[in-house]
Amino acid sequence: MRQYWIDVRSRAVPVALLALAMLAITAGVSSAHGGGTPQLSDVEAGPFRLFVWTSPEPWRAGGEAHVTVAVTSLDAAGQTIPVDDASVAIELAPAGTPERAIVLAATPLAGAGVGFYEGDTSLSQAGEWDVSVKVSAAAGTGDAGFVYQVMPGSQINWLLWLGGALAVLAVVGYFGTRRIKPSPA
Amino acid sequence: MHPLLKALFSPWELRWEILIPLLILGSIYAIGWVRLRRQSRRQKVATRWRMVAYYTGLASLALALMSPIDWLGSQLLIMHMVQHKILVMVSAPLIWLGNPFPVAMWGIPRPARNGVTLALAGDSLVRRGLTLISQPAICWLVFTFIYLGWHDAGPYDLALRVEWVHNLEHITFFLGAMLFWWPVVNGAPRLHKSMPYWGRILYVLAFVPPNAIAGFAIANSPDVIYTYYNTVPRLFGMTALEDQMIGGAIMWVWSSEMMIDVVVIMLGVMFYREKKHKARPAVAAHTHPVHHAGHVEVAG
Repeated sequence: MRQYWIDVRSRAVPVALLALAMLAITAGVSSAHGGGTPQLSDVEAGPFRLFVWTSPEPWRAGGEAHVTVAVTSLDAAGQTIPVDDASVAIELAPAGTPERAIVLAATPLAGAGVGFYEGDTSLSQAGEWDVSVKVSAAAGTGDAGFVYQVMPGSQINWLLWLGGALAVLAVVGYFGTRRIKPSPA
Repeated sequence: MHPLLKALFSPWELRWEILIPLLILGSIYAIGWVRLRRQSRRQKVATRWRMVAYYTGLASLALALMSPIDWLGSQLLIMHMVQHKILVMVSAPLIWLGNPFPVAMWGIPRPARNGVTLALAGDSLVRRGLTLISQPAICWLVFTFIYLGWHDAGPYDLALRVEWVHNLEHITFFLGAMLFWWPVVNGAPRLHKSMPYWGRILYVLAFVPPNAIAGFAIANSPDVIYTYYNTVPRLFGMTALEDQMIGGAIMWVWSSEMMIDVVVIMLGVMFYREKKHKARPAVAAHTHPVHHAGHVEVAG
């Protein structure tokens, strides 16, 4: 019985580590904590000044598309201040087909200061997309946009790479722990 | 309240890819520490101060990577510099001071312990590889190359734009710093003859000029070097150039000051050991020798 528990414990640790590693990979993909490719910087949109970043770089068909928006305005002294009561909508449509637009209601960016909003989606096809950011707040409304070239879906099979990496680790582990026979003098 | 101070008190972002490894490392150390303490309270491997150093090191990693410092780093060079300094100048040496290797060896299951022992025993490939990369000169060169290389405008801006590059930057900074501090703290596993204290003093002092030159160049640049910061809203009452000036000064002063602190500590240890060494014959003449059974010293 005791041997059974020792076996279970010795297996449980690598299995738990593998599960945690998988969880970490998943969590890493979905989290976005600042940064990204600047698409709009200090662009006037009604009473606001907008800053927009996209990530990952580049967007790929079928993959994640993340948009971060900073909504600011200028106070009487000309100092940039964040707008924290804004309602931000992000519209993404394949070029020339506004009727196929995906509309995201951006939410305040977690773990960040006020005035930052974010939205996530997945884009179905490669090619040019029109991205438009519409902001409304007590001060008024405004919008700004840009064009993004979405790349074809990734051909990389990450599972295959992960399997390959594990195989390499196993080989290194096996040969790395072997003692090298001393050469005859 | 100043907007930067207000932002620093924002909620932390729970990043599982950071939190879970920290919890695993913390748990393994805790198990090993308790096991070693049960064996003997007189051993020097798992002491209270080492435990405090180790967990402070882990906590500083969490502070750098999950607190608002992380997000603010994408808005201000100052905060990005602070984040990097915590990773390389605080977390890495504190974790080494916790003597993690022997303690963790007692915290992992026996098959894993056997595996690690096999990997490091005799003349295995792993041991030969580790011995090669842990030579002080290589540790110094690798860290200095990583540290200065990432401060080039191209990689730095790329890291701010692309998340996986940013993560790679932090991982290489931390691992490079672990390599750099290894011979200084003289942590286990010890694969080389320990560097004498004067050697360690020269080793850390040698890092001051390249760091100071880089920090000085950043602080005194007439143009914004990291152009990414031109594209973010200036919400904290300073221009991108002012931000860069202070950021460069942080890089220059913090790291140099840290190295000088290490030199002072090393000199203190040298004088203490010298004093102890001189006092020993007098003490030995008046007392009987004491043998501590089960005394283990892996990193002292």
